[in-house]
Amino acid sequence: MIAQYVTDSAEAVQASGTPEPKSIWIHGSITYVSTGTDYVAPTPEVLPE
Amino acid sequence: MDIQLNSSSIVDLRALSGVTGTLYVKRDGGTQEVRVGSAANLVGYSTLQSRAETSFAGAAYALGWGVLSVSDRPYSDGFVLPVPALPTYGMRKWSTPVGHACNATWNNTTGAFTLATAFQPVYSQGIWLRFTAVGQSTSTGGPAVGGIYWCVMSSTTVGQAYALRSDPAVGFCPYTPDISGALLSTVAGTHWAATGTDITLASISCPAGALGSQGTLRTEMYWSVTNSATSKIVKQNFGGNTLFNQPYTTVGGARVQTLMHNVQSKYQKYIAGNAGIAGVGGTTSGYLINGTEDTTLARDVLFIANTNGVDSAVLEFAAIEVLPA
Repeated sequence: MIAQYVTDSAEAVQASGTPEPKSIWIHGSITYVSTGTDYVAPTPEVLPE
Repeated sequence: MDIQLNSSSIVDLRALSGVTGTLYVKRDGGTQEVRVGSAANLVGYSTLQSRAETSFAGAAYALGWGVLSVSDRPYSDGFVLPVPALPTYGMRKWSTPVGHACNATWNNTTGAFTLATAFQPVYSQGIWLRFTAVGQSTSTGGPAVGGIYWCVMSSTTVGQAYALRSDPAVGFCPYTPDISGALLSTVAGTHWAATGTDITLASISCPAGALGSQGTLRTEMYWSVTNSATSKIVKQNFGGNTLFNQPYTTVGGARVQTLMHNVQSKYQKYIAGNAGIAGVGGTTSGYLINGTEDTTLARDVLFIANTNGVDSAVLEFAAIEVLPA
């Protein structure tokens, strides 16, 4: 699920602080929090060939 | 031909003399008035709201002037795209740095700060930095509203933040303001950099249909990152697709070029700088078509950093070219 919040709002802070795996994207005044199947794990480093 | 519009400028459209077609004017954010033609012979007039677009058909503007006035300028500048498209034209380019600030200390109530980890250069000519609001996580200091603020550094760690703030959610092309303006009101205390969070640093709108059915979007960018063992991720998105996504550790910076090609009117394959095809003539383990996006609609080109709090990532400059076909 991808939820949308006003950046820095109490709801955004609460959603960002939950312990479940999540991706947080602060896009200016809009913050997106992705959980569940929408969570994307960090990409490992790929060294140049 | 494209014409780069600065905020509040008058543009000599006589350079378009002989070009037939439609003059498109687009605004990434804020409000602007656009007038085409001389005062005595006004051939077009429009007021554009944020993310609006207008056009002036025909060649009547060929000997006129475009008068651009901007009622607010916290966001990006506008640009003009005449069609029919020429073989290659630039879309946007800038060299004002924008970065994700690392953990820091707010030294007073008027925006003076000290970074926990030094930048590589002294950004004495200014830099846009993203700070969180006071009260966020462990931030005991900072501005009332988080955002990307104009700052001028006096050393690699000490800087002054100003109230001038930009919002990538409505478009932001980094620019150097004529004047820095009022100091930023802050609460003294600690600044927590949003650890492990994607932060949009710049947002440019690619005009609807600019690529054509077989066109290419080419981006050149240079990132500076703290040279350390911890990961700093930089990304470039186009609409809902990620063109480039690369963590960096023990490097000081990276020059990146990305290409995205339309293969049908609405679909792209893109070649990014990672996935083993960073070099000229590189290979990939899979099929190249990795994304779909309807480019007949305007799409945002986003530049994103994700750091760890201790380190910083700075987008030093970028150039986005559209090669229509």
